[in-house]
Amino acid sequence: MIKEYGKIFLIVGLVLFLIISMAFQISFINTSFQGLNIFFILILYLVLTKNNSMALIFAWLGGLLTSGSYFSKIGVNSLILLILTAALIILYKTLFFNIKTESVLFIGIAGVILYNFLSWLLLDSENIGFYFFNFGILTELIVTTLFLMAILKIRIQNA
Amino acid sequence: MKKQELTLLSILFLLALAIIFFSDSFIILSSKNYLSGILRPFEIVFSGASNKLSFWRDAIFNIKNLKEFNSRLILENLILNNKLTELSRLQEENSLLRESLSLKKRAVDNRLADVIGRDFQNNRSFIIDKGANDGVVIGMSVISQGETIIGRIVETNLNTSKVQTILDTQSRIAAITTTSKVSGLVRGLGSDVIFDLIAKNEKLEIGELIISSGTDGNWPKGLVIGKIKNIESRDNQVFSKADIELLAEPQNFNSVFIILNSQ
Repeated sequence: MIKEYGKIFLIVGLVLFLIISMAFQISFINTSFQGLNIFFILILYLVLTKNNSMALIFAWLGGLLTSGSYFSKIGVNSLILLILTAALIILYKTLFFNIKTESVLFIGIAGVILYNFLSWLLLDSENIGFYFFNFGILTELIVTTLFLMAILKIRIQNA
Repeated sequence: MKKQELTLLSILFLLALAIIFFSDSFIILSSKNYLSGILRPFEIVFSGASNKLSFWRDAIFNIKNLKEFNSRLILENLILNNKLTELSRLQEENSLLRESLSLKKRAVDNRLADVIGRDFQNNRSFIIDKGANDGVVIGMSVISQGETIIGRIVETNLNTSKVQTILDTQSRIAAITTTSKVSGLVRGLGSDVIFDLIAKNEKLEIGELIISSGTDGNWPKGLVIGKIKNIESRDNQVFSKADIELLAEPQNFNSVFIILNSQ
């Protein structure tokens, strides 16, 4: 009985976390800190910690929830994040076996480049310069990798 | 990938495709409406916090600039005071002339809305806190102070709406320059806009103001878009084009006006 209540609380907490994270991303981060995407970082973190099923679910949900503020059709962002997550899982399993600085760096950089590539491919195939040839991608690369390294360092220290 | 993960990926992938395919169906649209209703209070709280943060960040980083700006303003103020006397005389004369020409002032019915969310990476779209319940309809123009075009409504929920800015690649506005009366098309490039399809024999001037001409039937006539920054004309191209300096950058405001109807 207590276990069932625990499960219900976990699901409610997860839904609440997703809703608050999404509102925080759209209305706080996107307006003040360009280059930081918490859903994307969360997915990368889950891939690195080998919670692959959770990563896939978060990718799908995150894409769906954030689509409200994107200029794309609902569902397209989900598709992009799902393909990205699958590619990263395969890449991580093929090249690395555990969390090291190199693997975090590699997955962070590969993730950002792949995310921009997929966005360009599925959303706006005319405008390659907008996704690759600007300072935005550089900021995104630095911010995402730094955030990932910081989170994983805290996790390793607490383990 | 494990079999279980592969199954999950396939299911989610198919679900995403189904959502894209049925994106205009009643179920998906009502779910979006419901979701935007849940999110609205959170978005308002976070957007308020973000505005406060931006205000204080700008204040801290601009103290030196503000000081310099202040001393320059004091000097300018002295010059402007002299001009003001002349201006008020001209204004009086102008209003008399307007009256005599029976120029009707344009009646624009508008509604003020706050920006409560923005898209990631760019400024192609943003969310405002007014929706279908406030009379907002898809296609309505969104402007900032000084009747400067920001974008148009592309999606409405009950209490929120999505605005596609003129920077978006889908954005097209029939426009005309104010001095030389040259017509063309203002096009969004993602992070910038250009004035395209200008007849080659037309002479444009840098710094000239561009306004919407209203000939496309989508945008009201006379809304300000920006100024000509740079003109590009090549021998191998049929039309000339010009870079535009926007008078209202989509990321620099927190409130906008929606034009409900204009005459």
